[in-house]
Amino acid sequence: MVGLMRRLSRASMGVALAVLALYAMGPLVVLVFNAFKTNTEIASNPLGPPLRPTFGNLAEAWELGNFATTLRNSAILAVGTALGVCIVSYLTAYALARLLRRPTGMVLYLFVSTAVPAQLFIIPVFFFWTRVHLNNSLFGLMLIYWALFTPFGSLLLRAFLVSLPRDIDDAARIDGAGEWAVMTRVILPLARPGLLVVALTTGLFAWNEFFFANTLIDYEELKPISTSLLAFRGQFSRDWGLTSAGCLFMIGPVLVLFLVLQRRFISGLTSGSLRA
Amino acid sequence: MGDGTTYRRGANSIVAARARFGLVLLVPFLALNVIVIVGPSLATAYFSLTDWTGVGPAQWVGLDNYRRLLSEAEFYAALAHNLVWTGIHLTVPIGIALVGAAMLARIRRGRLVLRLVYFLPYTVASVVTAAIWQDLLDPERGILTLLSSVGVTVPNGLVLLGEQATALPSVAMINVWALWGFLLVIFLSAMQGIDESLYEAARIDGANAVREFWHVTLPGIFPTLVFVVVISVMWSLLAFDYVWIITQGGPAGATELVSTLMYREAFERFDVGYAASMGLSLTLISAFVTIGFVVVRRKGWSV
Amino acid sequence: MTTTISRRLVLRGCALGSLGLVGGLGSVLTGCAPESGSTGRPGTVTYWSALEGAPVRRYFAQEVVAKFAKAYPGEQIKVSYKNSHDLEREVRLALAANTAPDIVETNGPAFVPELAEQGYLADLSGYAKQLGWNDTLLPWVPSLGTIDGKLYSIPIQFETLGIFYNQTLFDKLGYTLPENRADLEALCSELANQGITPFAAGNRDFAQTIEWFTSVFFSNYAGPQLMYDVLTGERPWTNQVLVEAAALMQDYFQRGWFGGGVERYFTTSFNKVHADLAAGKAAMNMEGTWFFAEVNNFFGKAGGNNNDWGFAPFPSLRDEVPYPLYPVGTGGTLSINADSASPDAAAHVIDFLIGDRKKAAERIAAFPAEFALPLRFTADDFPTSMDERIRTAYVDLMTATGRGNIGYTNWTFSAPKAAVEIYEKAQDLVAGKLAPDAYMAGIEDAFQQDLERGFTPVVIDPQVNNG
Repeated sequence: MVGLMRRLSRASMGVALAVLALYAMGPLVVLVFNAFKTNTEIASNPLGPPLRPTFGNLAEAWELGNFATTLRNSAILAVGTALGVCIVSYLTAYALARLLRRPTGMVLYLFVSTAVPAQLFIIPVFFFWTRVHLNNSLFGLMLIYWALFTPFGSLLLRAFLVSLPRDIDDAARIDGAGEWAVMTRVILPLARPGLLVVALTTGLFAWNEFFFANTLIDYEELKPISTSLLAFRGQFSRDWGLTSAGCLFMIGPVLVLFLVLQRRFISGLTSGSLRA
Repeated sequence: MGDGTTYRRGANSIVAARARFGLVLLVPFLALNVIVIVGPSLATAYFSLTDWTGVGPAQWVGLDNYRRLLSEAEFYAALAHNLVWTGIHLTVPIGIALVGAAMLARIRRGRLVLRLVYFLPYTVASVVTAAIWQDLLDPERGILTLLSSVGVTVPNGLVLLGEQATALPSVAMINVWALWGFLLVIFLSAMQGIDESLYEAARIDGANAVREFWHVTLPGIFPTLVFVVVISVMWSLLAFDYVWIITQGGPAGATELVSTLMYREAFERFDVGYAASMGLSLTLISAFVTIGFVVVRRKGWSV
Repeated sequence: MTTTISRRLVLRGCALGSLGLVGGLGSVLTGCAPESGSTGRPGTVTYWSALEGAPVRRYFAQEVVAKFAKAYPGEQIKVSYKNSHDLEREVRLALAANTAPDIVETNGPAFVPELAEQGYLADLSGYAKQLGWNDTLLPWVPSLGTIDGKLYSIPIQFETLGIFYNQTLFDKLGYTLPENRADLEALCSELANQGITPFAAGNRDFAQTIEWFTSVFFSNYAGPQLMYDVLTGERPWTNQVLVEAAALMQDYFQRGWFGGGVERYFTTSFNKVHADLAAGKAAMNMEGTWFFAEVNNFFGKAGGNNNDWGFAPFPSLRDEVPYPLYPVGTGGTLSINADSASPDAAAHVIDFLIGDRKKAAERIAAFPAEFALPLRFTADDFPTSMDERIRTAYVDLMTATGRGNIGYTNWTFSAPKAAVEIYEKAQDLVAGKLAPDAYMAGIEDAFQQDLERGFTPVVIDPQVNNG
């Protein structure tokens, strides 16, 4: 009886997971379809598979969108942002979760820091950035991304770190490890799943970010990938075939990166796991 | 007795040294935060007390902008829409993500692939997500027609994004589609940090999947859940992208949020001062929400 | 003044932290990053352009940027492309921060007065005289950019609103083009009976485009003189004629003549509007002359049908209003930054664009929407390869504006607050959520605020613009 229940619940779980997968993938399939349609076909057949598939969109989008340049710039931005946010967030989260005696005020402040209206903040930031010549610089843009996303990253990592048992670091300290060593050698490996999420989220944010990038970067040679989609616009309209194709260029690298990263982080997790 | 004091003083000084180390670790964060968040906050606070248009000189107007804000029906209507948005985002994506992650954590085969599949929507640029869903929700060509072709009755000519009543939830659900997989990945990562022996113990006690979820999984990821809930409130207060792309606050104001109202005041009506008062009100509200959360859920924070 | 205050405030905020650290680090890492904006080398003209889409940008690089460098040795244009919806915001921000480009492009004459008054823009009167701009620009054009006797801007992207219709469908069903309200209403009812949407319409891609309709309904119902009086503050927006115009617009929308219903209107994309028009699912489309740039992609072979299109002015909506009437709009303006290090070179760029009528006409032929400058064109300025209908439309438009048969588009002649009120609340109006008189009262209120701030743009006087 119990075995039957288990099997039944396994089956219904499988169905539920499949439904979720369909929900996630359905619209993406439409996106892929549209990448192989002409703009006119999208108007008459927006959802179905391409009736007269065209492969010209990909090549045309690549060239018109200047993706060779923007991909590179966005890769720099994404990696730099992910790294920077991970480092700063880890330090902050570690302090909040394991070192400070009364972190509540700081945690509150972090939460409020995530709730700033970026559309307005850009005004003073722009004034200051142009003053110190951080506009038209990928590094200058990255600094802003770091600042915008470290509150989020720190809070997320803190949530991971407070769940780790206290005895782990105490044991390490008894073994003679210094504070730095506890932070970098004992806790850091355990924080990997959290760091993966922070890296992915912030990297992806930097990859797709448009508002600050478009305002602070004037030079074509420094523009990120999100601005590439602008090349497929008319005054009031958009070439959806090219836009969809361009979007594949935006998603592709993320997909590859996700696959690579998740293998590394998962294996790291199982080997350095809690029971070790 | 004497030994005890020495020991305690020793422990205290160790704790104090750790706290000092902790403060040093905060320096990079604070440096960034002061420049990009605190500085602009002060500047925005100053703008909000002027009639600045974005260029040229500003006139000090005291609290006029705030007075006007509190008397503006548009602002309250927008706040109400933000509340609806928050309600949807606190339930639907978090619910799907929690259940999905719990199920995913229990299977071995296909877990990596499914995690990737669920996460993919979050990677799509918002303009593109918006366009796909606008087509999917089209009354003549969208999924509604598919539904009615398999026998599900759909009110004739239902234009989800065009009707006053359905526009806001529809845009919110588009945002949900992009978001839930991301939340699922967060929850899943947190679940992987739960000690496996707790599950084994629960199983020995004869717990079924639902009980395991309530008694092991949820407590195990509680700090993360609290974090997700609070951050969802913050993000809901600031929600902007999808509404701006899809409806720009329309049709007829049905999806106007505080942030879209603010953007329009600042950059279309050129009333940066008034817009700043709106923006700061948002930040204030979020501060109250956070503090409220701490007060109500003290337990959650001390975990 | 404010900019310094606010900047000081920002700096003070940052000084609390590690201004030195990040500032120093930043400049080390960015090295000798070249400066943007007006502080560039003399001879190099920086220009932020709102040209949308890669093909037209490529054309601009070839035909303007490259040829300019050849024509003026030692001078060059350094162009940066902006999203047209963001241009205004970014230009204002950069002006306030002193990093704006040499050539300042705005979204239209309505945005110029404030910038001119604050001293951000250079006086172009001298260049206009020296380079003879008054002889190439249409007679009323300089007045549109003149504030307190000084010329501050040149309008670009000259445009009008009218009806694109499915010629094949009209021929097949034996319909004629409506010229007055009675004809229009008879035609719309007849089409609706036939199951054909009278006007394909939708503002899904850009909600603000509902202002195309307000512009036409106000202009073609009120007529030139009344609109001029209202826009200059002589008569209120709440006058009975305009309330009737708003009511008429509400009525037509509620009847489903535009896009087949209000909800449909809100969710229909331009792509579908154009496809429906070309396929004959709808008979007409009320849109601006910018659609010339794309219309041939939807009709005939390119659109996968055998249909043809035509263009005509929108009917007069009241007996007192002349036909044809052309609502006038300009999609942008060009000015020179008052702080520019190379104002002469910047003036050369403007001259390069407007000085040669034949060249300008060639650019219109290639990209009808973007390069339609308001110059004194004659039919033979345009290349013979150009679509006859497009050429005729432009020549008719130029002639009509000389006779005062003009209307006023919202994006060109309304000050910021009134403009936003008009397009935002128009959605409430057509959805039946807002009564016509309340709608007009809201506009009047916003307009008074604009007047108070001194933001109202120059309005072309229909009486005194012939020359």
